Amino acid sequence: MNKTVNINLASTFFQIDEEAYKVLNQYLKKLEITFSETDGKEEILEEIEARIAELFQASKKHNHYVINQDDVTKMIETLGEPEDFIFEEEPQTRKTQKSNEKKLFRDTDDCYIGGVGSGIGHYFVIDAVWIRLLFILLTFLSGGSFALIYGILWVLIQKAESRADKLKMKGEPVNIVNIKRKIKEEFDDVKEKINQVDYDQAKSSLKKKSKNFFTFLENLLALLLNSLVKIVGVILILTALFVIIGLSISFISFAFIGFIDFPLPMFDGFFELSFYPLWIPLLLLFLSISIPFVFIFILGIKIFTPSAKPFGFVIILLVSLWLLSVIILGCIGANELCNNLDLIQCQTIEIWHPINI
Amino acid sequence: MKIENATAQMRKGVLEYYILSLIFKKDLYTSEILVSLKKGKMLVVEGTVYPLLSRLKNVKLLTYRWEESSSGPPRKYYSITPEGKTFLIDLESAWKELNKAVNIITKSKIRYNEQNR
Repeated sequence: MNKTVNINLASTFFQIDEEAYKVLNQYLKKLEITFSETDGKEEILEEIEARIAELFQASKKHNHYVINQDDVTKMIETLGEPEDFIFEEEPQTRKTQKSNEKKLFRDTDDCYIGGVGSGIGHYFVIDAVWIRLLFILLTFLSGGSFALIYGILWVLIQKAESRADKLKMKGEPVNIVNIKRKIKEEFDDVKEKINQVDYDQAKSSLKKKSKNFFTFLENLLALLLNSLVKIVGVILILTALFVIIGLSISFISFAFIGFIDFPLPMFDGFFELSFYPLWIPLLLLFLSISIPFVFIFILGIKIFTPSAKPFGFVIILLVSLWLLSVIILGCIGANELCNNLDLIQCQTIEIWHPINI
Repeated sequence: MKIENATAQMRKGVLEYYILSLIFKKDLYTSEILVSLKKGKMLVVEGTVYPLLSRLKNVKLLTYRWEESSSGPPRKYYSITPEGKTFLIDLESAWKELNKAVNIITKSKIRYNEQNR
């Protein structure tokens, strides 16, 4: 005994048995996925549907004929598998390929700070966790200046806003259609299997148990990774905080209290600054060192509480402030160097061109 | 390399030219186009035609209209646009050139074979 399903293909009524219906349904879904990125998708699908109706009509031997699996298989043979469709139209594939090219975006759906890490992760097909860990490592190794690079990346890299952006970000590979289709098929398979199993109570409980076990493992792993990331976040926050406080104290004592008793020769030069009050270069120095640590601090907060509000505006402000202070500091330094070193000698070296002889 | 792949590639190359010429002669609906293509052994599977027609329509080389049919659902009749006609003329001259070039090479090859026999 077989159940039959009533379907409506291009406004034509058909009776189809359940198994055949499943095959047909899957075929139509595959088609939909195949053309999901093609212009005029709706029309193509409509026409194919109409053609399927035509073919079914031809195999209908009498009025109450029920379309069976053989009819569906024959229809698919005539029309071909969706992957063969694409094969014959190169310009179109080239076009979709182009739109499938990967682009670097920030993934704000999955972000701790600005989504730079996950964006890069998508770009290189690496789990974002590793990129984040690398960022943190780099931040430490570079003494905080990497946080600035992060800030710059944040400003420069576009946010993935539209659906197309998100697809590009994840860079669907050239044979996207096949991959998507496979995933979908597998998903459908699993779904179907689960559905069938649901009827069978005994099997069902076993399946659920094993599923539960794997979900548990997954959760455990996620928890471990999460806590690791959280710990790193706390370390970042504390480090940055200490550095900032320390720097602030030393800045204040340097600039205003005038308590300078460091035996470091590099600070001697500060007394000979001719044009500027001492606190200006010191402030600039303070800013250029401490701002990267502020970044680390923010990074730490974001890692610790991902739900914290993004600091977008503050970051841009800080980056500009940092750049400004570094540039001014450089100018002052160069200026002072020129003033203090009268002994700059310019040597002209004549380059002898043997060709001219 | 499989011979099927090579011939499929060949057919693929001229499919647009074939379809445009077909519709140039007479307005056709999709199933008629399919029948002609199958007669000419231009097709491996039918499905390739739909995206191709849609693309030709999108670049405005073709246009279509719906027509009621006495049996079954309304049919989509394709006709060629003025742009399509100019395009077809260009394709034709390109095809003739290609044909000539390929003929020269293939003929000379056959002659070469005969001489060596």
